Amino acid sequence: MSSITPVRPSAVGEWTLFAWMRLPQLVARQLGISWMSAGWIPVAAALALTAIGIAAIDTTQPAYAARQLAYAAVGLVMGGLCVVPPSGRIERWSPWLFGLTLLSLVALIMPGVPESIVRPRNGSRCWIDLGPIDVQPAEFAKLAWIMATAWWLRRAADVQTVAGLALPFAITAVPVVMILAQPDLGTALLFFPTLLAMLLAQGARKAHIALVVAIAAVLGPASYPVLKPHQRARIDALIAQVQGSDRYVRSIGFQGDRAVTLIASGGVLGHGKSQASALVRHNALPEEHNDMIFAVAACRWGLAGGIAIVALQGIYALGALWIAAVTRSRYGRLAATGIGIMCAWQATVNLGMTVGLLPITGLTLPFVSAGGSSMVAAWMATGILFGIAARQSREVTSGMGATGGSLVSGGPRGSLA
Amino acid sequence: MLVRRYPRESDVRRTTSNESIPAPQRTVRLRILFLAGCVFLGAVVVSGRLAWLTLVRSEELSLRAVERLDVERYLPSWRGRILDRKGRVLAEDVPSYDIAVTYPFATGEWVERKAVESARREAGKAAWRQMDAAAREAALARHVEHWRARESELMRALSAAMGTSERDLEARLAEIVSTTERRASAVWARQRQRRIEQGEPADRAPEPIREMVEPHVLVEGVPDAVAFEMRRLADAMPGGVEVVDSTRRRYPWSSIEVEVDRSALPGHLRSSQPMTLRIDGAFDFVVGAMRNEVWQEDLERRPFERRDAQGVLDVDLGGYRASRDAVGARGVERSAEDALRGLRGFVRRRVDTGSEERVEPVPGRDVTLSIDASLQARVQAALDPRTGLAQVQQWHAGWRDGQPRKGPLPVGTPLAAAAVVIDVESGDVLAMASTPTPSGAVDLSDADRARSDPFIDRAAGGIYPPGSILKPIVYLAAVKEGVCREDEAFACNGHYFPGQPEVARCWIYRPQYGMTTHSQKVGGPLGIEQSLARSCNITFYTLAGRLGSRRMTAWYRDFGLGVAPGSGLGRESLAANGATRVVGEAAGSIPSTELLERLDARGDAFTPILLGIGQGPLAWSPLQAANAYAAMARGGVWMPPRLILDGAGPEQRPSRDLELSDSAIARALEGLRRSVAESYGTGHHVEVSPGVQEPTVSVPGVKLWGKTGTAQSGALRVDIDEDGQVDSTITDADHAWFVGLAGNERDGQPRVAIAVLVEHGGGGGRTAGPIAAAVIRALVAEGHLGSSRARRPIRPVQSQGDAG
Repeated sequence: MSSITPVRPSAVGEWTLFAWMRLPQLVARQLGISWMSAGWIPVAAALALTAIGIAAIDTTQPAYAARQLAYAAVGLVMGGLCVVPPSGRIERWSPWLFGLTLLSLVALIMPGVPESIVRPRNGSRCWIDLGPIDVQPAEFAKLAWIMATAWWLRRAADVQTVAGLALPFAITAVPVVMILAQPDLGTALLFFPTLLAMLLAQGARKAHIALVVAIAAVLGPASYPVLKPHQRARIDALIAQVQGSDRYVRSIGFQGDRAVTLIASGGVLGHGKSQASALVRHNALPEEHNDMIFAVAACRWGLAGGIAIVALQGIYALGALWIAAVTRSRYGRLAATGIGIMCAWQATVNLGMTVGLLPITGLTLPFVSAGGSSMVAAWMATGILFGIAARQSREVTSGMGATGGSLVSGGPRGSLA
Repeated sequence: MLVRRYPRESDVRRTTSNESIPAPQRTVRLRILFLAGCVFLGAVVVSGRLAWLTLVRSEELSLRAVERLDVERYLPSWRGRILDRKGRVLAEDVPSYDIAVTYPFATGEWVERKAVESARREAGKAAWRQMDAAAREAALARHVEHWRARESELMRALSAAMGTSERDLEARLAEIVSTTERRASAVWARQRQRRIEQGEPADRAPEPIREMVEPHVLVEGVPDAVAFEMRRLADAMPGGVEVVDSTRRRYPWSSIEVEVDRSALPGHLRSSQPMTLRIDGAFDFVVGAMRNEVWQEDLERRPFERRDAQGVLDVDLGGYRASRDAVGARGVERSAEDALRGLRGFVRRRVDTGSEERVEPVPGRDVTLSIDASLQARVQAALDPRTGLAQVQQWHAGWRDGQPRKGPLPVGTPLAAAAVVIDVESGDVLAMASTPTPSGAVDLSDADRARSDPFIDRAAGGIYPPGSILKPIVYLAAVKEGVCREDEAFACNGHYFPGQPEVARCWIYRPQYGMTTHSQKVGGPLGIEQSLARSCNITFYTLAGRLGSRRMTAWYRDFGLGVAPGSGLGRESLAANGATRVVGEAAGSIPSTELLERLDARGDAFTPILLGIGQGPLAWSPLQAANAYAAMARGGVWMPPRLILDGAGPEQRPSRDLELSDSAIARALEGLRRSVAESYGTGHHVEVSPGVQEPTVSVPGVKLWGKTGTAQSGALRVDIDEDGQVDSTITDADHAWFVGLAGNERDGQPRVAIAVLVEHGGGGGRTAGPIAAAVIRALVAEGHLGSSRARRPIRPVQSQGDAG
């Protein structure tokens, strides 16, 4: 009897096929996740936005497009890694991660840090130089803050009292102040709306939330006199632009005017690639691959492409909120709410300023704008969302197709395992 | 009110594990639904605005976006040449190059910028960022050295090639910086002011002004060979230096060498040795000059871009652009500007498709002048104080009892003068000269400059009281109006008003002439020939009295007094009050109807008769005077003088037959002939030294008719010791006129009319006469009076910049 039995090719094929079919199942079992979940909604939206972003960047800055593709790959890997740890572990890590990002923010604004590590760009100290790559800690701080806030709200405070509310606001103020010091007003402005959303999801009193919103609505316009001159000028420029005056078009209103011109020139279906590229270049839109990428996309693909981007951003956020609504993990619900609302808020502000509804401040369009840190951070958030969805609602989502969603169904069911 | 209880933390704590908590309650889901609603609302608002932009405003804004794809480049046009009547080039465009530098280059910032750039490239981006300040400084030093060496290499090469010292170049750089800074601070202050007025935030980082972005010319008119070398250097200095193609206006006759024949000059000026003079600026007033600066009036007259009532942009390719454009500033360069200028061309390229639309420039038209450049040069030489004629000489003041008389101005003072020569038949202006000239006055002393402004064109733009040169016209008018017989004789008893020997006297009825009268001298009344030759005032007071001031004024106007002559040198220009006025050519002045009425009302009997001897409220230019005499020589046909030959025949040109009596004209001309030909004539001789008389104008082969004029001038303020203070005011330095006609002795017909004026020259015969003689000799030399003796031709001096 021969000890070596030749393996038949067909057997190899069968085994491989078997392995490939089984692998997802094995992975799912290993990680304790379900492949069938609402987690795919934000992932799909993010993938589509990333693809659109790369194509848009390729229209205006082909050199950046390849880099953006690499960032997207890194983002996907990092996002995948974020699916691995069970949410309990992520929750435990949250305060430590937040602490780490705070340290990096401190490094940015600390006076003694050498310029070889923190080099100011456009007058802002936003980047940490890590040799071959530059990292923008604020992008990661946003995510870490959401996680830490979710951790805090989950275990500590009774948010239905004013005292319980005060602490989350105080914690939030720490990264906000540090980011404002860079200075990066746009990023800093993302935190409080997100906090309010998370508090709402956590069960804070509606009257409290309404009061805070009312105070902000009053304080916002009242802060105009204390703003820096360039910030005031931007608001003036926006008002002039909406009124149809070209008073600021050659100065502070230049960017807004050119963005609106390019968007409008796109019409319903947009221009061909070379035409769009020429239009963007010769209309000299500043930051066109970055904050103003939506103008490029709208010029390239017109109203259709613009609506697609708005819709995809909406789908991402609504997917995240869906996950928040169906998850059984309170931490997961808070984190998903935070991620969804922050992403939606950032997209709204970015789109609003690009279409000429809001004053211009430096904010990227998530997944679409060129930039490594924001891309990686956004994908990591997406990975966390996926993990939450895949772990906490698998038994619910398994029946989702039939019941039309789990928003109305309640009550625990037995674990599939 | 129903209060819904929300699960508190205490409820949650009862659960032991995350995995087994209950599914979120309905309240939570509603709250999350509310958040989803907010997200949806945001998306709707953004989409709405997006739809409005792409659907409603698309057409309008996409036009603007696409407009920016058109890159327009304007192609320079060539300015037409200015030629003289014999085709000699007096002005032309020649290709040339300017060396231009950017503002950062001028400030020195460019070197720093380039050094940082190259040092960073050398070190690598990452390594550069890792360096601390000291390491950077060290790495920079070498690069700063390198770029500075480039800079000084260029300056050295430029200085060597153009013969300008490096110090001058540095000074020019400093000037660029200071002008730009001055302008920037003014612009920024204005912008700030406007922001404050509009209630906008005042403090804002100022934007660089145009001068900080566009290149500045460091050296103009660099020749080919130098430009080639400079281009090599400039290519290695991007963003700092560039060689700009341009054209330069060249005036080949701006500097001329003239050989002055001194063999016929009066008195001690006479010499058998000719004198060679280098004359600068002989064509400064006729041909003119350019300025490289566009003024508001140019932009108003012919803007490059104009928006019509509908706001549609209209581009005039021949219009002026506020930045760098050349404008005719004087002379024919100004008056024939629109013909000379031509139209720019342009290339409009669509950057996305690469399609090009090209419109070729239309070069400007050549303009041919009636001037004979060679004659002009000789006339200019005659007017040059260095020749001695336009300079105070002792014979101007004369002698008394063998002793020199003191004149109003010291002997040797240069005199400003003008001369005009007009061809009788065609009305062509053959020569029109004025001294001092802007380019000839470079080394004029401040005192001379103050007394005689070199920027006044005395031939066509300066106006002077006519004095006695109007007398033949008074006679012709009187005959035509029937107030006197052609052959009437007039008694001169020294004064006009009976019993008033102190006013309205004859010039001869003065103590210095022995209180004599013309009637005494002739032994009876004077015929008109005698009256003109002797320039008797009483005769013309009488005629003026008979004519009356209104008729006389009308006749003066018929001879061109008080009307811009229309030679082609003048251009209509919009004055500040909206009225048009002619610049470049003076109309002169003539009493208005209102003034005459006022005089009548006042019962002034003296001023009206004063008009008869060319005094009072009358003034005209030498050009007008020469043209009036040309009209007389034409038998009373007035034509505008012609400076620009447009190919029009005499019948196409405006002319006016004054219908004068031929025999009266013949008598008047006879009077003018006697004035220079008979010993009693005012233009016959000059007493060059005590007892030595020399003929004023006597040129072999030339028949001459002349009239002297000594016109009272305004007060002249002089600074004798040149200390910048006016030392005395001179009131008796009269303007000297000599106006006449010259022809060939063989046919006896007047061919040219000549007017010579010497500002504050004193007696017309003594001062202006010899200059007229020199002008006539110049005419002979150039063959305008028939016979021409071969002379050395006039040649322009090659200037250094004209190589190749």
